[in-house]
Amino acid sequence: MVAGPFRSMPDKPTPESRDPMKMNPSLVEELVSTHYAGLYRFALSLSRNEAEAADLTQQTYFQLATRGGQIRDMTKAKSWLFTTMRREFFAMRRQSVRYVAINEREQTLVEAPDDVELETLAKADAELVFEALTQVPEVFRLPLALFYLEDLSYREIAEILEVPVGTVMSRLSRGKSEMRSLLSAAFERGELPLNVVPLRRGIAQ
Amino acid sequence: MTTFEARFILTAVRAGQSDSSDPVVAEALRLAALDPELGEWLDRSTALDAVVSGKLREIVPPADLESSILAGLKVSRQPASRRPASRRPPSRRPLAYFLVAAAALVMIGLVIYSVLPVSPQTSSGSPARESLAEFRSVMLREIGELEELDYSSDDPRDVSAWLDERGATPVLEIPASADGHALVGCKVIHWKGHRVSLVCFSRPGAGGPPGLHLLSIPAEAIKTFDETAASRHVENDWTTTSWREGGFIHVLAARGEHDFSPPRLPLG
Repeated sequence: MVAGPFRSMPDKPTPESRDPMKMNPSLVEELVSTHYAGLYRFALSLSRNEAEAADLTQQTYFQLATRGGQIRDMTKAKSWLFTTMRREFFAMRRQSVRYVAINEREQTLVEAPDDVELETLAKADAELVFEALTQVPEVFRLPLALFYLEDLSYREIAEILEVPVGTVMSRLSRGKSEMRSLLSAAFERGELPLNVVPLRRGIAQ
Repeated sequence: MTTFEARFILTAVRAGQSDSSDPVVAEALRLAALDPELGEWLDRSTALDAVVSGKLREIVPPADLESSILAGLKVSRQPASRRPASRRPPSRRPLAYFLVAAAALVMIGLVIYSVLPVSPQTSSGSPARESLAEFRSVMLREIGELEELDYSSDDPRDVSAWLDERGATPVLEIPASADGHALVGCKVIHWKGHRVSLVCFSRPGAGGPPGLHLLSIPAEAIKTFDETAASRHVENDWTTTSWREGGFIHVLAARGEHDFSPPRLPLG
């Protein structure tokens, strides 16, 4: 072991240290039942594609099964799942594209008026609202999806996205403004201006 | 706290949730209670959020998704030995085994060759220089293939705290900028059982991947660090400088020619 501020790790996992990385199967199954729907919605907001969202959800749980043993505090399991899903999603992309895309959008997006009417929104179709969410630029869409879909606090969102809380607040503010602007424009035209993503809808009880 | 600041904070919270216990949020809520215009805005914003949230949750996953996930996990847990045995005639197996073994040996040879340090200094026979050269070469390759930072922030305190939480405490005070590059984030790399902190900087407005990288590793990881082997070093397309400070060895790396002299972080 190494003294000092850096803590050492074994060079290669030994047979004894490999098993603890895996999570108890019954616990994995429990976490599947509890979180798969929320993870799928988050995946759908990321990928905007049903098949890819299902695949991303499956892959996230595969990571949980093989590496979830490292989660010591099970109250963090939900954050771990969403963080892992975000990383899995970005791992599919070339980093060069991401750097440019995020930086450019963050610098050029201007705040839009949030003049959507509450009554109109209440009558809107869920698909239309989800469609608006998927059209928000990715850098703002991620915190927005976690805020709306999972009721996560801004601190939990910051933990999942691995950004400072001030950044989360800023992105939520701009993301909400962007989404309301998109909805407002759609309501005015009586349609959404962009392609419709095929979605399966449940019945809200 | 101004009204604008209060709106900024309250955009990120929901009424009645745990966020309300945050002193900053509590202050913003107090202001909203005193300012009718802000209070009205908060009520409307909260109502809109509730409607949007409810609509979005009407989207449900495919009916068979949960079963598919569980089935996939079950299959993944099956040991490899349960796979059906090869039905090839026994007489052909030795040749197949030989070909597979030969291919594996070639692959292992290629991997070992590619991992060997490319610096000519490593052939000088000095263990210290070999060790530093190996670390430097491996890290430069890691940086070259860097796809994603673990943590993105331009705030040195955030970056320092993030690394500290992950056992990769940076002993150097991380600056907001170095050599004309601004701080963009960090990553933890595992090397030979040690956690290496990688702090990255980019030229403002340049876009693309970070251009300047600061690596820090406990000095004992480079067993006999030779000060004379440190300092400025050019390897392939990289210029690096290395120095020991506070029980750590630091390597500053940038693509292209740079004047990293004396070996130290060029602040600003």
